[in-house]
Amino acid sequence: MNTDLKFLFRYWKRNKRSFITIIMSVALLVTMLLVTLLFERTDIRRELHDYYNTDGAFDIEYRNVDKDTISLIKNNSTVDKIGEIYCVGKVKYGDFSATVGAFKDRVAEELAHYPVMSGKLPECSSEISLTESLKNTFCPSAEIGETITLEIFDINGENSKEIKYTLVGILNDVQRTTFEDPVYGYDNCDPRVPISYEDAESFSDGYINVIFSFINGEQLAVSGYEDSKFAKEDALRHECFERGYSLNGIGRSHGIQMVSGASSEDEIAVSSKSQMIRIISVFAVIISVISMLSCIDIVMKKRMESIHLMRCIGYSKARIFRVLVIEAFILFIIGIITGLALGIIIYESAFAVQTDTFGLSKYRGYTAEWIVSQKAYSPFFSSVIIAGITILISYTVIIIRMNRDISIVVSSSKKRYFFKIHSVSSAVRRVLAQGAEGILQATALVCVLFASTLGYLYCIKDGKGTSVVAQTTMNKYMQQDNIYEVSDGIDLNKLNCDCYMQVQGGLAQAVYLSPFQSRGLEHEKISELYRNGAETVYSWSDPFMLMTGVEDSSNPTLLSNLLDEQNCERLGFLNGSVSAIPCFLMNDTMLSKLSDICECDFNNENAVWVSIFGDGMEFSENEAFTVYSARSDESGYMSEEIINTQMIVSDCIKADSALLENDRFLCGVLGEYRYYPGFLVLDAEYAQRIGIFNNTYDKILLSANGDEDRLNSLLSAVIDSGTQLNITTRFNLSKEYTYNTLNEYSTVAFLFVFLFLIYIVGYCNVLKLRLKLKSSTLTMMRCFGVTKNRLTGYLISDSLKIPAISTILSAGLICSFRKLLVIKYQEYCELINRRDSISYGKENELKEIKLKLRELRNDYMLLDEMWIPDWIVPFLILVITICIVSVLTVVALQRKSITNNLTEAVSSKDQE
Amino acid sequence: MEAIIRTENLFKTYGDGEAKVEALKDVSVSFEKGKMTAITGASGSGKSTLMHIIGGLDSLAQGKVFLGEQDLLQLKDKELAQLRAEKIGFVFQFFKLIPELSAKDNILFPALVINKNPEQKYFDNLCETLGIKERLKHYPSQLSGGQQQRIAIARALINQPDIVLCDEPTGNLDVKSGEEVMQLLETLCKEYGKTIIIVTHDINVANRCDCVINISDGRIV
Repeated sequence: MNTDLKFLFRYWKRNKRSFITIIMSVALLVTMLLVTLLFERTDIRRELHDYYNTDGAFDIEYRNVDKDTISLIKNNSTVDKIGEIYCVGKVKYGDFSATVGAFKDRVAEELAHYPVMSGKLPECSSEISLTESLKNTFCPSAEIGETITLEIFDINGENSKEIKYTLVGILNDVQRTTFEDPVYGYDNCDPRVPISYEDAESFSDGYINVIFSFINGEQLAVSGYEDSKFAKEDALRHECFERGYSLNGIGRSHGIQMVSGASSEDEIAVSSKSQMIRIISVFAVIISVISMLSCIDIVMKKRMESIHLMRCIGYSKARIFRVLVIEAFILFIIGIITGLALGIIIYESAFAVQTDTFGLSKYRGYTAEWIVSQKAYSPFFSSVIIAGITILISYTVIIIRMNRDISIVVSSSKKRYFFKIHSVSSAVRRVLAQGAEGILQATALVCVLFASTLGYLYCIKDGKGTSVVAQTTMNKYMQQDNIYEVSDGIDLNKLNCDCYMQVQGGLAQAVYLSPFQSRGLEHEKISELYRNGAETVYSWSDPFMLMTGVEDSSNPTLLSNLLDEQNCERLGFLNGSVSAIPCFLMNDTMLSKLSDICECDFNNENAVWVSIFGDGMEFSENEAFTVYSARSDESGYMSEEIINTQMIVSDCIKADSALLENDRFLCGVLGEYRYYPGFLVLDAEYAQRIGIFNNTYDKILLSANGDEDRLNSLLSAVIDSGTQLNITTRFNLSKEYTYNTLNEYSTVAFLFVFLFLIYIVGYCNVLKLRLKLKSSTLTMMRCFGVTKNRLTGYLISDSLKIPAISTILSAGLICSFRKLLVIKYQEYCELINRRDSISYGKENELKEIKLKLRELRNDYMLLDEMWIPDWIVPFLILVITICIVSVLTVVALQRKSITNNLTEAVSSKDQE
Repeated sequence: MEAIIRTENLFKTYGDGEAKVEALKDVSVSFEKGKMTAITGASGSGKSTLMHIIGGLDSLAQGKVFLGEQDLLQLKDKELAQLRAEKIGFVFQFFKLIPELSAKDNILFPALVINKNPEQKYFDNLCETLGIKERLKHYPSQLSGGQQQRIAIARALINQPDIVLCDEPTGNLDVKSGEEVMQLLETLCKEYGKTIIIVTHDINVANRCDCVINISDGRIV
């Protein structure tokens, strides 16, 4: 054994460079995979954080929540309280359904956000409290104390049974409120969930939904699902998060979404960004594995002679096998350690640059606890396992080859070349012929070109403003007091005005009301409103609920309720100020219609536009209501309301593709505020009446995108009224888009550049090894009159062979893929047109279309403008870069090893 | 007799500082045309270095090396390559055949370099003389040492060079094969009028040559 190890170490000492090359290839594979997977995890965590829109941080992630996990959470010292709700079943009314939930204990705390209007909360399994709207739906004439019968369906909405309850309480289902030490904070639960208390122990078919826990007055929300009946493939659906929240609110639980009526076919969309990162990670694996296999193959080819020699001098096969196993293990360990260290360094550095540059949240893709608990899925373990498998395959091939060729010593070759050489170049090509290795290299290069082009296109997509882009931007601006540089048009810094208007996609103009656009600020503000004596405060979703109601959601007159001066009291005032106002997207025609409905004249020159910009929305001329669809897709229990509202809205409203930037319009806020911008066109007098520009707002931003006249006319009524407005900032989305795009897609951009660089390094390694292997033969050719430059020329042309073939193949692949996307995008556009033209009453058809749209978006990452033709430019840049690198590598290597060692070449015994 | 190659005050140094080695020290020697000359010496004496320089494989030396009237040390790489292709043939101790090419392709390779199409008759004659006609389609790995060396000799002669430089041509061969190779070289010298320069440490090989040059410690003895 000692002899074997000595021999091994001496051999590698003598062939240090080859040894280092193999270690480098292992390390590159591990690094590439680790960095990609860590960023994928980081991105998912960031997305989920954004989705839940909190200021909290993910500490631990639990998957597949079961009773043991719940015990774990309960035993966590940072968890103060924990609640559980059992889903008894669903009740249906018409096309809608609501969930019956049973609370195990601390019912009052769990249901604190449902203020009791009359009666009490249920205390035993035969009692039930209903929200007012549901009571009016199921048993309008029932009184407190009476027995009611509900038909309860199972969670899938199929089998049902009748259950009798005693009605003990009626709850307020309209109000969403937050208290100083709220139980739920801002909650998105189905407001129409009837509540009953049931002995949870007897509920054998339950889904455990661990909801909330608290610590020291701050909320830690843990929500998850015991997965027994839902589709298992969507990991996001079943994830359980432990988050730290501020007092501002708690995000939605996936479980509640599920329970509330989302069908099992619904899937929570994995974002296109996560999809792209996963695609890149697949390509990263392919490329890294090929590079590693090539390196090991080339080094070992040269080594076969020494292995054969070992057999000649008395080593048995088993003994050689042992030596190779030890060698593989040593290479594996050193390569893994190097790769992991390098991967962590690169990840942390890139992560730090990314978060600092773009102000992204600092959720890393791992925590120590998560690494331990998520063994099989940890990027660290995945990287190690894949590297191990690759080394195993490489050395298995070597051992097989060794066993096969052992009888043929030294320089046996089974190669058969079928074409006669007719020139020196063909002789050089024959010498450098790659065979299977060439196919592998071409495959790797095709993968690189395809993945890099894909990544590039993804990052520079013209999305005309996406929700996260806008939100990230707006948050950044709103949370800072800095005055930003104005790109063009009016220098609003000098105007000292409070109103901000944002142009987004040429469609909307927004006046941003600061305190309620930042989520964190909003909840603080709401709490502050209460502390300061406000009777009621409505969050963004409240006006929606107010607007659609339950009884008659098709009644457009509800719109007038919204704008009715008396009803404004219900919108929540503090010292006469309005905290939230919903509105609609309209063109002039619809403005007239709305004017008729509301008996207000919005369509006049003096109309004041106030936009309440939410967290952003996907916006394009053709998809004014995408936001509604998206919301309904993600919020099963909200779908009915949104469909209803959309039906109302679509009767009145249609985004006109001819809508011009300067057209007056309203933009509707429907459903949850964070997805919808809000614009309100009001009569100037009315705006003043309701105090829309009351100076309780901290910041109001205004931008008319350079149109000073329009700006002045827009604000004329307001300014004339004497209201003092201060402009603090302004930006033009289109100017900022590039920055925002990179902000949003910095991870994808970094990964595809990293992938490309890793490939280049691996490729140069392989080139170097290949040339080194053939250097003796090539140098010897010079003895017969081949000049240095001629040989260099042949080597350069040989090095361009693989890039040339790969370019053609990958160009074909990209074109085919693009063609497929064009077809799917046409299908997508047709569906959009169908969706927008569906008239009120065809909810099922609408739902079907939305599901198909969602599928297309998820599967093909379809965007507003997709795969614009200039993929050729980045593609060519990549190809040219690879060609230049190949040429430079070859020139540098041949200059070093081939041309200067004539005498060494002719004197040495070294034969390939 | 006319000297086809001569050197004047040839110095060759490798390395510097403490690792400096003077491989050739003031070597002035000439090689007669049409003769078989042996360069002998102990291992490390500088005989291979001398051969490399007169064969144009190494031009980093001081002094003069004349092939005809041309000073090889003044020629550029392209000119040297041309010279090697047309006027000098090489036979190496370890054959140095291109493993990926067949025997025939190996032989014809130097002709391809200068885009020359050797006469079929000459080629056949050469193969016949060297006894390798039946082995032309084989690859080096399928040939014995002696056969490989004969292929190498054929390769050296395909462009009909004036000079054939042999670096230990029998060093890697058994006695019988070595004897065959020496006989071939003698035939080439006598019948074809080639100038053969053989570097060897084998006294028996040296004794078969017309002229023997002994090098010791970089100097002609």
